[in-house]
Amino acid sequence: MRLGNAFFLRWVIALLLAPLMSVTLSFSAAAYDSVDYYSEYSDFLQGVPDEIAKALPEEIYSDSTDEQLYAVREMTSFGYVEEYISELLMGDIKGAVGMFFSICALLVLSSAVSAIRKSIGGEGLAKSFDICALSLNIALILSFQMSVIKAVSGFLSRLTLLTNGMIPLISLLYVSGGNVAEGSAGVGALSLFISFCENVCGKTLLPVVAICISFAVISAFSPQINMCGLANTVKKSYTFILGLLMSVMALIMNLQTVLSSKADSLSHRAAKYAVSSFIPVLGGAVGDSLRTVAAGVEYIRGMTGTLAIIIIILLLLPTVIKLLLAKTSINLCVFFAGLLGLDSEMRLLGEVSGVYGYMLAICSICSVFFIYALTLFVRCSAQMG
Amino acid sequence: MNGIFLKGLGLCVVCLVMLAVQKSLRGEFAFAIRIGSTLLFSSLCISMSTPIIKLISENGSPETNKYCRIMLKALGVVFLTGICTDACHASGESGLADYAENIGKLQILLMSTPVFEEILQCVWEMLSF
Repeated sequence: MRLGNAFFLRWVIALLLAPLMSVTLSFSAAAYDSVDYYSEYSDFLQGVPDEIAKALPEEIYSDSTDEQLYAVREMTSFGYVEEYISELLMGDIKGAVGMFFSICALLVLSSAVSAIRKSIGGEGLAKSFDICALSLNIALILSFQMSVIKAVSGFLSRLTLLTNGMIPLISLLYVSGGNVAEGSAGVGALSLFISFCENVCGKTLLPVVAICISFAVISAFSPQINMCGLANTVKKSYTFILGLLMSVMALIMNLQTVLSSKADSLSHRAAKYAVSSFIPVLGGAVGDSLRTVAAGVEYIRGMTGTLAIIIIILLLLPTVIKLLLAKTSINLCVFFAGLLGLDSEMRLLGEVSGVYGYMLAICSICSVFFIYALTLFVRCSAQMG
Repeated sequence: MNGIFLKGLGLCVVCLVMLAVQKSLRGEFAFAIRIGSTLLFSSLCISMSTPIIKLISENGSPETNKYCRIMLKALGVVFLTGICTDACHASGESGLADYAENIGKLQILLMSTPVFEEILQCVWEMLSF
């Protein structure tokens, strides 16, 4: 009799929980379709700079996750990256070669004219002419630096804008996967880094560059006043401070991610234990369906995170290529200036080349930090599973 | 070999012979021959450097052309001032020669002033980012 009652009771519970089961199973069957991320995703794509948006495949704007994933796969192919880099090189090589030839032409003319000048006139006139020739060379070298400095400044502001646009999407996908604490830590660190990049890198890099170039100009005009040592101190201190701040932030971000991941894991395990204990038959099914949804969230996270990393790389590449080509042509000009015996111009060009190296380092560090944050976002597993 | 180059060297030898001959006859014409030969060689130098200037103006950026023009003008000023001071020194008027040199220096500085302004503007623009 007792066994019959227990059997009857189980059936009653099973019938009562049947609607709940149908809801959870349909939820799991939909997997990634259950996460409505399209509006945040489309907002993020709207924040992508126009020149990068043109290079993205059309499928990336589709509302189908499969098509988006297909586009991301296409963007990670060797052919796509090769085509993008070759297009950039074609555009930038022209500018770099133009800069090299323009500076070299003036250096050669300056050297030839100085040789002619030595045979005419007195010492005072010769000095005036040398100052005039030097100022012409400096003005030409500086006129080319403005475009490079503007490109770096534009890159930093576009990078911070792009990452700002990613925050709502990242927050949504963190929370959808049940990583509430991890999400708040990750997004908090990302916001901190955005403000750091905007206020520290964006606002200090260019003045530091300008100070170093100004010192080099002073040293070029009067070699007796050697400002190179001071310029080197400024550069070294700046890079040390930036490096230290970056390391501290990376460490904090890493530790916070690990701790919040553990906290999320603990709370979700407790919740799952409670569900499977209090719902006798369907507790396991609910757990399984949550695992499926978690897989869907991880799928979307992987896709969007990879897309964001690729966009950051696409944003970084033009600046890096421009800087590398400019640095190469300036280094060649340094060689020619040395060959022509133009010491002041050689020192100034050497300083400009060094400054390019610093700008390259800052751009790469900022991008790498954002890529690191996004990698943590992609690699963290959804806790609800 | 370039024809102008050989003609230039030939003219140099002719001027040398003329100077040597007139020194033994009438010394006062030496100055006129020197001035004439200087003008001749200046025009030769200008005509020889024309292809280089043309190459730069055709292939260089607008800034390069502008600065090349200023540099050549400055060289012209040095050249003219040099001729003038040499003439003053040859006539024993070293005071006048100093004045001529100062005028030349000032002219070169005046020509460089817009360039100094451009340099300052560039540095200021960099600092104001």
